Order: sequence, then structure tokens, then C-alpha cells
Amino acid sequence: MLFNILALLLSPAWAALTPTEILTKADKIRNPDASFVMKVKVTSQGDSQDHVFDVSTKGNEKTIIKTIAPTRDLGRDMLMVEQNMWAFIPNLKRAVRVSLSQKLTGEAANGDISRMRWAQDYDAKIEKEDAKAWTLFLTANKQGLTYEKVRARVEKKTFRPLDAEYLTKADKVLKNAKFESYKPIAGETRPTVIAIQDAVQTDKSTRIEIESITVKDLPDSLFSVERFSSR
Amino acid sequence: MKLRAVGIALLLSAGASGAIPVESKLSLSSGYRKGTWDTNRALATLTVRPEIGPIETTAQIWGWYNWSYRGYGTREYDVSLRASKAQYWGEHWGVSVGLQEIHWGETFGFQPIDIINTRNFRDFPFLDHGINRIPAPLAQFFYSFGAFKTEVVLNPRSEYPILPTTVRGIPVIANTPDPWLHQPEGGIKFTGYLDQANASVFVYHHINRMPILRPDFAAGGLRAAFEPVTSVGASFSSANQEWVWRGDFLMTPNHPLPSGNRKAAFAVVVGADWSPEFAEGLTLGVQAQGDGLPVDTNSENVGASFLVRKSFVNNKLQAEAQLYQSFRFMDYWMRVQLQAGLGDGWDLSVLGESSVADSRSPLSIFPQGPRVAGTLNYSF
Repeated sequence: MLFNILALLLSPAWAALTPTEILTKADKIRNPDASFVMKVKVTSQGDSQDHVFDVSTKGNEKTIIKTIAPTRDLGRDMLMVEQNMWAFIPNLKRAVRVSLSQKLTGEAANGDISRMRWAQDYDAKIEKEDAKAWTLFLTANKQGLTYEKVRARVEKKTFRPLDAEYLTKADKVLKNAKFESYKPIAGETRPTVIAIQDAVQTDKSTRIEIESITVKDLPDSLFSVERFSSR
Repeated sequence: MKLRAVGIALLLSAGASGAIPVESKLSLSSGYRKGTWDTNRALATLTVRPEIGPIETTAQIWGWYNWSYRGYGTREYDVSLRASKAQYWGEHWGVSVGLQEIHWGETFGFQPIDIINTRNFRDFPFLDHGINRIPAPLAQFFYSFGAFKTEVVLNPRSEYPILPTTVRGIPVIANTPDPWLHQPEGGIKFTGYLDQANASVFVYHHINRMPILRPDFAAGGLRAAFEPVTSVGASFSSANQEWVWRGDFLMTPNHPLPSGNRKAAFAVVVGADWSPEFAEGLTLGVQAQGDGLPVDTNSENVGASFLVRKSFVNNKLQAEAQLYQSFRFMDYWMRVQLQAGLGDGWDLSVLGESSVADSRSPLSIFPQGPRVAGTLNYSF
């Protein structure tokens, strides 16, 4: 009895966590819970031009990606609401529906910066674990997501996501991602760089750099298609 | 006129003071068609979006100078407001009032339900509806309840479209004295949002958007007729992984005809585009099109339109080709465009287009044959 109580007291906090609980904690490391505005710089291999976006997010279902640079792409903004995504086409002055898997720039898909929480989108199971990390295998529980399956490693001690493989429905690896440069930002130590590499053409890579995160209350009306189209 | 001048002055002073962020663009374009210069134009566009408390405002001005136009050697210029509007968005409703453009279409290419603003048919760059739409003083109201939205649009004064100078070599008489022009227009649209899909139905009372040209023997030319009509329509779009499905439908039961009679005119476009994950930056689209044209003969038409879009080198080079082919008329239209980002706000686009139209087709009012054009843009 005493041994059991001591074992319970001395066991680490993560000992009895379910895969979904691990994922939820990892999501909290990646992004604030509340609505926030994030400035992101995307740099791709072989592209001398940086792409800069202002990303406004509310929950996991609502995001606006606003292009800040390059100047010639100003106005090419994107709106995501649940699994729906629209792109604004400046020369037509209208928003058109696009799929979540369409490329933003380089190896970064729209979903890579518009949908940065896993727990609500995927069913998780622990594939393997070692002393340092869990390897979680995630399967999409809804249609229209950027990636059908994800294999993610989460550090046990800190719940920091370390790296991930993005897979097709047939388990073919599309891309590899590394979560790097952990720094204090918006009240938590978070990854400020996501390095994405094409799994087949390994010379193709993209670096998503989070320059700032500001927690801010955003109204639902900001994410209406009508408001997005009317500019 | 005074209001326009005040708006332009405010816009220029706001931009010059640096108090409000300004989006600016300079363009130089030159076109060549059938052995002669088409349109040579220098264009400057300035946009500001100041927020006054909870009210979002947008003002846009452009100024252009044509040093030649379609082989006539005509020199022309224009400085005008393209937008001057204020918007407020509440939790379940929104309002947008002022000079603006409103677009309802889902499909690519002709976008038949884009009927709220009149068009510039003279300079007609086929797909650039952002340029050839003529802004109108509109009031737009939104109200949402759950997954449904209602949109009401009111236009107190319909605008006059810009007509081609000639059609098949016959002069078009400008400034048609038509009693129906500048009458109020308006309509209502209902939209439902489902999982990865939306569908709308609408009714809109307006002046016919497609110009009906009638011979005026006394004046020695063609005179455009504009009469009130009521259109009904529907649209939808839906995404499924790499596919997006789209459709637009418009029916005008009482469209005027060149003979002075009226009959039903309709247009329907249904199709899909595919952006495969394995081919980065590639989009392929195909649409089936059908229409019943506002002409006196039986003229139901069917055709297909195709789209290929591909970006290269991290979107620095974009190529797009669109093609429309009628199966019943000799109507044919195609356009190929290449756009290259040159860095530091510069980009260059080159396009080639060509059209051939049946004399019964609305396409026939536009200049036909091949055209090439280049545009150098600088954004800052």
C-alpha cells in the first residue's frame, strides 16, 4: 500500500495521460488557447524573396491570412472557416473557394499556418514511446484537412512537439517538419520555427518563422465570407 | 462632381501626410492587334483603408492616360474614384455603403451572375472584372442566422455602361437618351452554408446588363437599348480534398431584344477545378456552359470552358490559359497569360488572346482576332 502511494506520488505527471491529452498539451505549447494575431515569415529554398503574413486566428476553426510581403502579392489574402477556405483574387476583386491543401508558398500549405492545432482534427494513438518522447500517430477525424495522417513526436518532459511526418491516406510520407527555436512568446515557451522539407525532393524546403504572437479578442464577424469578400 | 473632387482631395492628402498606410500601383501597358496598336496606357492606382472607430472605410482612386487607343491615335485621360465606402460589422449583421463593386459569381471566365455593377464594354479585358466593372453607389446589408445569410443590395441610381465605339465597323452612338437609365435597382440573396459547401439563390431588378444594339438609320449607327428587367439566379461551390465544384445560373425572363420584343435569356455554368497535391501549384478546370442569348433568332448555345494554371519558382512565375469553345456557334475565345515577379515590387505580365464570334453572339460586340499585350507593374 505504502509502495503504491509512493509510486503514485513519484510518478511523472504524464504517466497516465491519454494520446488526446498529450496532443492537447502539445497544442497549447504551439499556440495560445484564445484568439491571437501572429506575424509569420515564410522562406523557401531557392527563393530570395521572403513572404510575410499576418495570421488572425480564433479557435481552430477560424483564420485569416493577410499577405504583408512581397508587395506585389498584397491583397492575396485567405480566409478559413472550419474546413472551408477562400482566397481573395485582387484583379477580380472577389473571393473564390479553394481547397485546404493548396500551396501557400514553397512547401507550406495553407493549413500549415491556418490550422495549427491537432487535438480537435485528429484521432491519436501512441505508436511508440521511449524515455524522451512519445510518437503519436494521428488520423484525420474530419474531411478537407491538409493532411490525412500525421506522425508526431512529443517530448515527455515539456510536451513540446519535436518533429512530424505528414502522410497521405495511403501512409506515404509527403513532408517532414521540425519544430525548433523554442523561445518565450505570448506567455509560454513555444517553437518559433517550423522547418518543412519535401519527403521525396529533399532539396525542397520551407522555413516558417513566427516573429510575434499577440493574444487579442477577435470578433466572429471578422471571419465572415461577406466581410472578407467586401473590400 | 463636387463630392468626387472632395473625395479625391482627401485621399491624396491622407496618402501624402503618411497618416494612413497607402497601397500604390503604377502600370504601363501596351497592346497590339491585327497590325495596329491597341491600347497604350499608363495607369496609377492609390488605395487607403482608414478605420474610424468601428467603421472601416476604403477609398481608391485611379488616373490613366492613353497615348493611343485602338489605332485611332486618340489621346485620352481619366482621374476618378474607384471606391469610396464605409462598412460596419456587428455580431450578426453588416452594412457597406458607398461607391463600390459587388460580385456574386462562383465560376471562372465569363461569370454571368456578376450583374450588380455595369461593365466597361469598350476596353473589355475579358477576365479582369476588377477593371471592367464600373463602381456604383450601393447600399449592401447582411444579416446572418445560424448557417444562413441574407444579403440585400440597393442601388438608387443605375450607372451607364461604357459601350464599344464600333461594332462590326458600324459606329455605336454614345450617350443613348434612354428614359430607364439611372433608375433605382435592387435585390436580395439568400445563402446557406453546409459542410464545405455553400449555395445561394437571388432575385435582382436592374437594367439589362448586356447591351442590346438597335439600328438608328437617322443617326447612321447603332443605338443601345436599356430597359428594366428582373433576373433570378443561383450559385454554389463545394470543396472536397483537391477538388472544388462550382456553378452559376442566371435567368432573365423579360430580356429586351433588338427587334423591340422581349424574351427569356439565360446562362448556366457548371464545372470543377482540381489542384492535385502531387503537382505543386497546378490547377486544372473544366466547365460546361449553356446560354439562351437575347437575340431574335433561336439561339440556345452550349459550350465548354477550360482553365490551366501553374505557378513555378515559388509563385514567382505564373502561367494561366483559359479557353472557351461553343459547340453550336462559331464562338471561340482563348487567353494565355504569363506573369513574372521581378522583385522589389516589380512584375511583368504578357498576354495573348484571340476571339471569333458568331454575329448572333454577344461576344461579337467586342474586337475580334488575335491581340498581344504586355504590362509592367510597380507596387509600393
